[in-house]
Amino acid sequence: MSAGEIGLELRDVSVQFGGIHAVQGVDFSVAPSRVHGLVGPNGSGKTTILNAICGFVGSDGEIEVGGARIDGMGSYGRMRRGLGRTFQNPRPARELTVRDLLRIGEHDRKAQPWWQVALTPRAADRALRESNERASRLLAMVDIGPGLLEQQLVNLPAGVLKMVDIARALMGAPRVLLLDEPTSGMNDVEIDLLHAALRELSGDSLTILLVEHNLRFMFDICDSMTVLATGRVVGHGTPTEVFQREEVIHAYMGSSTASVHESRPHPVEPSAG
Amino acid sequence: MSTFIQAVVAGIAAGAVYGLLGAGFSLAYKTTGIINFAHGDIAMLGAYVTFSVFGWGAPLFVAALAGVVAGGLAGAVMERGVLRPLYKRPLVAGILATVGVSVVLQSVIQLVWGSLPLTLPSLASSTPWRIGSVAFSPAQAVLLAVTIIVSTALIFAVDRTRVGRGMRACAQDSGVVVLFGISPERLYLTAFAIAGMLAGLAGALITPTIGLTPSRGVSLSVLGFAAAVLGGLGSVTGAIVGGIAIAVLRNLASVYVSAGYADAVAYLAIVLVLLVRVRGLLGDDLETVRSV
Amino acid sequence: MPATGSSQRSEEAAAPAAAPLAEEHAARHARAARRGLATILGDRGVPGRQRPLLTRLIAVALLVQVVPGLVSGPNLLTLNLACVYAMAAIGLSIVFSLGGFVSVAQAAVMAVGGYILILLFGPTVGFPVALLLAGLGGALVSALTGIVGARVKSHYFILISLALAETIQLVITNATSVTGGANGVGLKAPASVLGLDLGLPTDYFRFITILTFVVIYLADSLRASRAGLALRAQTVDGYLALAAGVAIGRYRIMATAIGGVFAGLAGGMVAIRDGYLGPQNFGLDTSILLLLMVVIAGTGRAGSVVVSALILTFLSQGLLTLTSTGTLIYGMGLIVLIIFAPEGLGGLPRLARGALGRLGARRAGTASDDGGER
Repeated sequence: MSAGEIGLELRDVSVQFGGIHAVQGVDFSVAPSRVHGLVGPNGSGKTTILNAICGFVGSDGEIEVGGARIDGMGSYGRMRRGLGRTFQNPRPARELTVRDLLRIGEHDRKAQPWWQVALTPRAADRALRESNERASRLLAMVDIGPGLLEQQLVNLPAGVLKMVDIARALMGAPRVLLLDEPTSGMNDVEIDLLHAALRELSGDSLTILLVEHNLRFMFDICDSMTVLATGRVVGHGTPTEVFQREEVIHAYMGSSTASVHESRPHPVEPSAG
Repeated sequence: MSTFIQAVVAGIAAGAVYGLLGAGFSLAYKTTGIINFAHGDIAMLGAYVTFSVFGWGAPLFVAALAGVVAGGLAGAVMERGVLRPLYKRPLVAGILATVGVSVVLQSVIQLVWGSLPLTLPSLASSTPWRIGSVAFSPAQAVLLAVTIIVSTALIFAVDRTRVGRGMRACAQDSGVVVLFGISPERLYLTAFAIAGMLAGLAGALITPTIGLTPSRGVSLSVLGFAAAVLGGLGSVTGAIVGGIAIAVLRNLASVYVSAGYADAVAYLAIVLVLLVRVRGLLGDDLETVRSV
Repeated sequence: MPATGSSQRSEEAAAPAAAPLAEEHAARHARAARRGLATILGDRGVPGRQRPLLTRLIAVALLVQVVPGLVSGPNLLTLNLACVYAMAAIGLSIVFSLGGFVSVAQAAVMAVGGYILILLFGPTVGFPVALLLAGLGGALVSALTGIVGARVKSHYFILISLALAETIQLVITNATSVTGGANGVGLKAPASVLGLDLGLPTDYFRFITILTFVVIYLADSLRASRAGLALRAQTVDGYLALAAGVAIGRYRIMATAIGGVFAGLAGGMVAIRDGYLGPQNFGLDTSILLLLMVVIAGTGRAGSVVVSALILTFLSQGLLTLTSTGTLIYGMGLIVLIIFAPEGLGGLPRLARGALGRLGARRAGTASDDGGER
């Protein structure tokens, strides 16, 4: 693979918490326009990898976005290099509206000094109008009307809040989008909408890295996958390949599940979903 | 050299009392998260009560106990009456409410005892023993001894008793202690009562040296706060160590730098410690990390 | 609660929604441009825009014309002090609600501004320059707390600001050759600006009102800007701000610096008001008073900080200078206010509206329309 074809690449990435290896020697790369999934049981280090990529936790090893090294940078620098991420449980900040959240997401796209609002209100208005339009367009992708922009975040149902959080990450026009459990809290209709939206986005040369418990969703949307167990990579491949491999099923289901060995792909649907 | 040793020795004795102030401060903070700006005023209240009871003819020791009880009561009343409705609110509301309590206590002291400075005799003689060129008085020895006894008892209580462990758990997550069958409200009350008693004790111990004035409480709050933070908020041992460190630093600074800037040097040192070691000297990391 | 979100979503058609929306915005934009005055009047069509500038200008003009005729004597002096405190408190509210720092050093920052002005202003350095330098000095000192504060945890910041405040007090008291120590220092020359003689309480009021409105306007602009939003997000959820690419540390330092500018200006205006400065002007009690103004105003706009500054200045001047009974009442008042007005003064209108709404609903015999906000 030449450098230009890589959206996101991790080489030998490790994370330690007080001497304990939460993630050890993880490698994988994702091409642009691809959706890559991280699967593994709870505690296998999936979210920790996302945090390491964002710089929320310290890590060893090399991380590249679009061919440029980002490890060693602070979170702020990494986001500037085209990273975007969503949260498993977005905190609905009090007194912020959907519009506010989306404007924050746009934060780094264009630098707007604060005094612009005071000194050249006309230019500030124009910027505001543009960002409102972008926000409405993004929300429309997931079937949310512009009326929602005025809503307080605390009043949103969980699934809608997750959608809004994804839109927030997209406002920064990222090249690589990291999604942490996007479907948790969403109903079936919302999951379908998300599916369609992600497909459309990845067609637009966005690289997507996905951590998700809903394996059905993963199986449907991912182009490739990395399987993790206790912080190590135990397998790579397309969803079909991954779900047929013995050690993957083993890692996922534990040791005493002989009956699952014969089962077909996407064997586990978490009972919570 | 002997000036140095003298400054350190005097600092340790004075610092022991700052440590007691800091320990109470720390305990209340650890359990409720509230920074109590009325802490020093409670100490002054304890000192004034000691003064009055002593004036009625009671032995000084008994009078000091009365001061401790008064401090404990003030802490408990403050927790019940003022802070209880504020736990669900942003912390700054609780903190500012303690400022309100401080103003109230100050004016109550002024109304009852007047604003003229008064003096309280100390528990033991202040005629110093001389070891070489270093002076050390029985009064200082008493300060040190009381601090050691009280803080050991306190550390034991926090570590070993159910209530003490509850307080520690409460600092992490007040929901958890309910599962142990302890009511958080009860813990808050206990913590403030004990903190008040410690303050009352510190007041009775320190006022023979600094004198009784109603407005003195603010500076005692500041000292207690500084001791607690320097030692690491939430740690009793840390507060004692922090208090001693501050007093020694102030003494050394007033000897070697300038008496006027002694406090400034101490503050600078605290800020530096916080920059290098964010948790304070002995603090455990209480701030819960959000699961992203 | 979930009903609001989902019904709204089902009403909107999926894909075509974007196009009409864009058109609508374009049309609105055109209308606004045609009006011409839109930016001064404030374009109500653009959500997120702040209060119209023209209304503010009219308000200033009215105040400047009317108030000096109505208020006089000690009340006018207190009113002037309230405006000074309002400026400093607005600065503190930026440090507090945007920076996320609980600072008890705001009066000390004022002191820096005040002493800069009183020491510099004279025959050689004009009043406007000295006042600007006062603001700048305030910004530098305040930013210092931000630089240290951005590296330590929230509770420790209070102590750091306390350390700064006490240190500045010590410097003022001990550096007698420069500051006059506890005796204080007097203004070297009478100040005048824009044809106003600032030695006169009435003219002083006119100038400080204009200055306060400039400060309000700047503070509201900051809140409305994307930087302001990023700062608000950062106080609630640091990781969210990080994920949005906000350079948190830099922004928090910026917030303390801006808050410091306003405090520095306010300090300079104290010097002009009294013609004299001493360490007692800027004690811990003043810092606490400013913090109370911010908290009692709620996290709301600069306007509500001004209201609480007016109330608290008159209260404290009225009560604290009297007897210890007065102080007692003041202290109790603070506690009651903190306990019973949970959202501060900013929350009072909503409390009232809620009560009225319930009353109205009961009268109409329906409980259906209790305001869409809740």
